[in-house]
Amino acid sequence: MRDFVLPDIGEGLVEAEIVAWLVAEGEQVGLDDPLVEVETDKTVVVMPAPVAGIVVRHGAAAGETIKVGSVLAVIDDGSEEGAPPPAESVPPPADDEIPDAEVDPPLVGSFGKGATTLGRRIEVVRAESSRVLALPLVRKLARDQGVDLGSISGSGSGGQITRADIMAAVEAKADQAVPVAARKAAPTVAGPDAEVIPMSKLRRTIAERMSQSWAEIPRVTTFDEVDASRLLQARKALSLRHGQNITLEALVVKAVVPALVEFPEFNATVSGDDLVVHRRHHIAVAVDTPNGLMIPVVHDAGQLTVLEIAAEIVRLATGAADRTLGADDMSGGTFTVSNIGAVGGGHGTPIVPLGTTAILSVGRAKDSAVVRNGAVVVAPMMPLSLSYDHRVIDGALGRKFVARLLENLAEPALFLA
Amino acid sequence: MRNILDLEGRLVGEAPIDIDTTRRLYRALVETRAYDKKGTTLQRQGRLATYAPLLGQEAAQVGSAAALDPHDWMVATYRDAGAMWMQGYPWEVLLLSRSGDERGGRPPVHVDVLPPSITVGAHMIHAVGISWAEKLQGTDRIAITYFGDGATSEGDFHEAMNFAGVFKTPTVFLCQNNGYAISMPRERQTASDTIAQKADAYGMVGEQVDGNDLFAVYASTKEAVDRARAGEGATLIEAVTYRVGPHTTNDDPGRYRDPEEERMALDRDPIERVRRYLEHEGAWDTDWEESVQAKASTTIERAVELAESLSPPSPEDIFGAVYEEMSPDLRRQFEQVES
Repeated sequence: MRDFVLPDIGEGLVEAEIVAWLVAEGEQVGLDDPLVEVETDKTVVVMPAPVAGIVVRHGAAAGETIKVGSVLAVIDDGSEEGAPPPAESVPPPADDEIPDAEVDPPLVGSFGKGATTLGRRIEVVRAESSRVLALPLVRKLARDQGVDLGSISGSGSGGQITRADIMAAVEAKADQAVPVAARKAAPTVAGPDAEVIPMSKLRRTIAERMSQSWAEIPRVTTFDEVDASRLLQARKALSLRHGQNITLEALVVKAVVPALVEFPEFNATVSGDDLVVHRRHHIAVAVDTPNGLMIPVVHDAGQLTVLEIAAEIVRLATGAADRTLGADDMSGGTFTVSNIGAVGGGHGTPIVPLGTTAILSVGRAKDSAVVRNGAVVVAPMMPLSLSYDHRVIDGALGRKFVARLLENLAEPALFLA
Repeated sequence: MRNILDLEGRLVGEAPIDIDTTRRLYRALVETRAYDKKGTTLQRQGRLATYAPLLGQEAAQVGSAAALDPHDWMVATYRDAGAMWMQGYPWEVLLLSRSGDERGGRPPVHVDVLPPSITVGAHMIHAVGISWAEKLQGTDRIAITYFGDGATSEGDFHEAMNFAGVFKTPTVFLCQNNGYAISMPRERQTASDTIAQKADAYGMVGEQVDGNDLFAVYASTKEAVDRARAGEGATLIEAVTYRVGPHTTNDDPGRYRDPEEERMALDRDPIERVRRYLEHEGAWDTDWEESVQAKASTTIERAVELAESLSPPSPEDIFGAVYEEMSPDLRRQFEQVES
């Protein structure tokens, strides 16, 4: 059984899309025969099978994207699981002798059995399996963090150890209930009037992510207010009709999705030099818990009704407080809504969560004097603060997004329809 | 343009080699193509780094290299595996050179072929220097250098040609004009009608030959080699061929040339031409063809096996490959990797 791993067939390729499988699962493929067509960012390439055998499994279906280093196909070539590739089974030649390749004497050259250079200069041994693969920078990071490279397994291509692997190892070590103070390079100094409180794991995670976002994402925040009278009316009517408390947050999430559809840059991830635009809308909602801020995710909010979103937020908020949410509930957010109004907040300057490009903070609606048609009227004005990643979203686009959001929130019929 | 075999494999001039030699060179053409096909395949399987196919250029390489003596020098490029192998560079070492292994640059000691040059054009100067040194030492060894149409636009081409012309060095400049420098077509490479005519400016002989005609390439190169050995100086040969494949495995020619062009190139296939000739001469049949193909395939598979059975290069192999003594900066990097 052999895993055919997607190689970097370009120069620095990270992923490719499966165009078509040329050999179905369960079918026979010959050595070097065309197996699958993949599309890279440059061109469509036919990938030949590295061994002959039965194609046991496709690593991904046509239309799917597959990362370099992940299994493209599993081929049963009759070898046992985990057996070394055939190349390694070639017996090493004697020390001072070129392997008998039965090469005809070249037509005019004179390379033949008598030549010994190759055999002498190149040590022929079985490939080492214990070899640690890591870039110099990663090695340095490991040294700085006191991580033994031999003790961790790499998640990168060909088992290469990545920065993320090192950081994960560091975090795992930190989890072993080592007091924070003990881990710090410099001891924490506290006078008699102060108390040292070790940060919880959650707090440390929050701290790390906030710092990272702050360092990486140049964000700008745009402020606005919307007349929430109709939104509040709709909320009340829906709650009465369904006998269920429809939170304002649920309505905001529902109102955000159509704006994200229209402006996909706000539902995206910056990845190196690329902007990855997500087709689905997984809305993270900020939840205040006794332990600190958590942001569980309403998955595929675009497919849910307001009632379903409301119920989901209740489930997530309860789970967050109980610390019973699974990893699925806590990850994959593509846009974040923070209802700071729930705790009485107004405007704010939220920090864009890592892996996303924007966050909307909604303040508490409060009766204000508003000038309308030359007269001062009283209206419940709800503060909105939108922070976004200025690397990929320009100010004008930010305003357009907010304008569409204001329109929806001012007239719920527009998004509830 | 010099021609000896027409597209149908019929002689339009005098055959420069006998039937037995032609059959041996036919084997070499087939083996070169088998290597080339395997090279692309291995790259797609993640077993070789970027590979530059020579498909369609087999006769230009095999035919020219066949005109050399075993002790002649060869200074070629990343697309010249066929010529390099003819002069003794083993297939397995050529494979190593395409897998990021420094050992790919070390052929057996008696093989006077320099490692393939990746830098376009710089190596032509080396060939001139080597052949000049041989001349100064009074030997009869010559140097042949391979390059493409694109390389003739490099300053190095002028320097090499000029020096070779003035010092009458025993050098053969073998330009494989394959129509493209990556995506740049020959028409935009130079305003000259031919590349061969550039020889005039340097006071040397220049000749344009059909690069897909094994006999014409052989004959032309043989004359150039003989002239060089006789102390009559350098020659520029323009072998007009066609790069049937992409520039490298990381290139998509569909973006800059008409696929029809590639189909037309099939009619000019250099190997099929020799096959037809042998058939006309009663020196080819299907049994023999099968044995030639099988032999080529076995040889290349063995070379792959051998190349892949080697232990991966150590960091020291990589850092120590270029300088006799590492620079302080290089040593620091090396120590960082080792730690």
